[in-house]
Amino acid sequence: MRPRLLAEDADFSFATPHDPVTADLITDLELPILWEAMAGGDGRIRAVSSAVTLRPLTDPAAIAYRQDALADALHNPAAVRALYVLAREAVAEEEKVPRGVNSRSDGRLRRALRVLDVFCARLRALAALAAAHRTAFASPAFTRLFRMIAANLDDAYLREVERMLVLLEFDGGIAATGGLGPGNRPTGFALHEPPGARPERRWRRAGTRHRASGENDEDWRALAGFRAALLGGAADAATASADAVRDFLAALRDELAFYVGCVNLAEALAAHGLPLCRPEPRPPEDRALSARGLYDPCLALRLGGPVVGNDLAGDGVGLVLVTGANAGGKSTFLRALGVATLMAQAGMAVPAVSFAASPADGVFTHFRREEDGTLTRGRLADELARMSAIADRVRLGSLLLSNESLASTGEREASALAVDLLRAFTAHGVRTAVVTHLTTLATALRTTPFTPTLCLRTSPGYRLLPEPA
Amino acid sequence: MPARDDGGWAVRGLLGAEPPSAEPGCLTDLRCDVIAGALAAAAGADAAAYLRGAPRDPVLVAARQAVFRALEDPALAAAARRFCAAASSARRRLDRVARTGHVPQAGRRLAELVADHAAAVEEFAAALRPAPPGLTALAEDLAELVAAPSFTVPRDEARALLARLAEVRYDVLLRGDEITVVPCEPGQVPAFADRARAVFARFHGDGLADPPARPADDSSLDVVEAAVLDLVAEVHPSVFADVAAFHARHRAFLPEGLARLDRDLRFCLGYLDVLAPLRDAGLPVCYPDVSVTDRTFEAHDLYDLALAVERSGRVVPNDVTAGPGERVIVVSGPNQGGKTTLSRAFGQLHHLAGLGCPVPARRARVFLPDRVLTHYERAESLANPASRLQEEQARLRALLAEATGDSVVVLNEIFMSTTSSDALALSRPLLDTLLDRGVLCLWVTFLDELSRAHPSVVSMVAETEGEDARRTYRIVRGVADGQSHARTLAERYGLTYEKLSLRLQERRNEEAAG
Repeated sequence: MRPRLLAEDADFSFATPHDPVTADLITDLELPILWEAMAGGDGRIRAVSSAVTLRPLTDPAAIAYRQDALADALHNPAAVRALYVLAREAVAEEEKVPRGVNSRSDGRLRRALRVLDVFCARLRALAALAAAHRTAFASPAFTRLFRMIAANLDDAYLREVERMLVLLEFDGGIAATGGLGPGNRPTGFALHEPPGARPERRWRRAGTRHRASGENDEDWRALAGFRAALLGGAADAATASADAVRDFLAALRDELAFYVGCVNLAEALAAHGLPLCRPEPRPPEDRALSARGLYDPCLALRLGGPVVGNDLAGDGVGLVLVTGANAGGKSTFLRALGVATLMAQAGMAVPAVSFAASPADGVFTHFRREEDGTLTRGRLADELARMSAIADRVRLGSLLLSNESLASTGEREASALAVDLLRAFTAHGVRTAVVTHLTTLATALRTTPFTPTLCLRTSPGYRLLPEPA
Repeated sequence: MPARDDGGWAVRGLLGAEPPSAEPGCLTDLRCDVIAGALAAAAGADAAAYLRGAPRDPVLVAARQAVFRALEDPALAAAARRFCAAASSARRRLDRVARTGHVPQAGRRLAELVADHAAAVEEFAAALRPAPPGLTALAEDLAELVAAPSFTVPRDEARALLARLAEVRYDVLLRGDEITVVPCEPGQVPAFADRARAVFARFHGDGLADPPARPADDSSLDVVEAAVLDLVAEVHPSVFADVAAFHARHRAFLPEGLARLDRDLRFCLGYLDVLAPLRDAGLPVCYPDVSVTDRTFEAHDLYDLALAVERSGRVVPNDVTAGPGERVIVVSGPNQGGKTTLSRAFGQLHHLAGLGCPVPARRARVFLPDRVLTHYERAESLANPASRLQEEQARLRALLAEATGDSVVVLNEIFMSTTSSDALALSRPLLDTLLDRGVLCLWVTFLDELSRAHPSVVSMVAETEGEDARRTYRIVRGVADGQSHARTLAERYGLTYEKLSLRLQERRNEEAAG
């Protein structure tokens, strides 16, 4: 059983990438502000939101799958939150069942029986909730989930499970057929049906009987160990089931957490009167990059108010050059582009009036650092080391956002290096958006462009306007 | 194969000589202790002792090289490893059987041990057919051993007994603290676990993996298991009578004569194991041409094996040669340039080549020295410059007393405690003595003048490149090429247009390929 709310045919891995390049991306785009708004104080939602936004999709169908599910969530916020809370509490309750000190079958079985008992009640509630809401949902993801719950978690089945849980208590003792393993260890047990309260005749008649002396702890440990060995197969089935149900509920909790986060974000931005739109997917070969009213949601959330949006007509463009006055909105524009790209490819609604872009195969940021944190290298060396780490990761179709790169060396030198870097990246299909003060570089890009280039310039009111060619 | 008095057979060792008990002084200076440590970890301390010293006999060296070469064959090495693992396991298990008083357990363990060990010996004997060069004597010895009744009789009895024990079945009931064992009821297929799994199947989907096989538990049976085993023995008296009989007959079974073979193999395999990660990292290893007559010295891509072991192969190899008439190699140049490392590599090469081992170089021609003598700064002698100089001179006198024309001498940074002019004045007579005796010597020094002191002196200069002095060159002087600082840095980070394009192109090629 898999919730499959984030991807139709695969489990989503919530492992967040931990590497310097990603750490720079998070810092440069101020992503923690976005995640806090999604989380609304819930640490689980924050962790899930960061993992999902940092693993952008590129397949338009996969993106549409999430967009459809998100549309359902935005229409049914209360139901999605209720499902999330149910899954979260079920997992929390499982965690409260104490784990035995030893991990042998005996202790594991006892715990699994208790956990499954807990889960049976929770799964009944989940089935009821799903049945109550299933008609209000239309997306393939939620429809599939509700159908699966209805098919698998019917009451008759849950009752059968509960009967089996009683049998597995083995009140009449444990009977099995065994063999001898290495060292003549009694092993390889195959369980019989649990015996009744009174043993059969052949057992009662036998003279080959041993009673544990119980004289010391070692005897009792050995007896518990033997019991565990007898239980092997049944204990494994029960513990595997307990683990599987737990995994299902945990995955359900985490995948729902993403949609709850999206709902939280939409509500937070709507409170400032800011729009979100469903981005229009475009195939990679279009090299589309167009938006109207594109704004940086993190800036809006940080300021707690509305912010200026910008239009971008960059279809077919390989390089966007942004120049102009200080504090004119250049960095904000780069961030807005980066955040919107990540959000769009996470399947989220994006901060714009409209947004249509070909998916980027990875988003990378190379922003000027105010201070060099390392004393071991010079500032230029530090910048180049960061760029080199990016060069190890970029690929055809990646988006690279460069904000005042190479500002730590002389104008001519820096411009020459930058032209080299941009030419090589462009030649290998990396799209770049460049904010720069280097006039030599800007002039070179304007007068002798090596790729279709869109030049934007700041104008009053934080607006960026295209420069006439 | 020599027959033993007790009717068993001896197997001859592989390496021709026992490892020496004492360790020559040069080994610590050359950091062979690091190599020995890695070897001891891979092969055991008894095998690592072979690293202490060598027969300089060219015939023995050739024989050992042939053994190493044979074991470079992965299939044969794997067979040899299994043999060594079985030998060590047999020793351990036999010891345990001797300490086990419970016959139903001890007899079974003995049968397992005999069967496993026999299989390993047979497998190794089979892997030696046809015998690879270098291992022909061993192949003969093992072929005779596995055909002898002293080997085949216990093996066959053990196999038969284990086959019968594998068939034993019984029913057991655990109620509270009471365990009952009865003969297995025929015809019933107990499958309650399957039923339980079926009920839960919906939870874990179509593919519930079989529970992972528990790792073989090598411990003795606990009191309950032993008690159950006794009950099973009562239910199956005839099999367990045979277990007791096997135990009585064969408890003196000993894998005699194979212990030395095991140790010798472990040395060779362990040494190759120490080399393996370095080879994977791209470092070369070769079998040196050795001679006791030809005094030319040649080593290509020579590196310090101890450093390579510590740094997982990240070392820079060097070429070192001394043609006819060239006896003293003087290495000078800036600090941190790899000079001391090269001196150790030079000393190690002579020591290891003398042992008959493969050496850390791409190609090497080595005169087998009667001894390798070294002089390195001692950490404990840093106290006062005057006494330090006296101590150094005393050590050098002792070194010269031992050195013959067939010796190799490695000198590292001597007379550091005096002024340059004093050091030079002290060094010149030493150089003359070494040249007079015809000693092959590698001398690391801060005194450039020594490199020009005599026509028989070869000069090597440690050369560095870039800010972080990463690479070492031989007699190459770096010339500033006029590049700007920024360009140099970009070059280093692979961010010039050419280098970056190449990186991106290579990644695309890799992705297209994979």
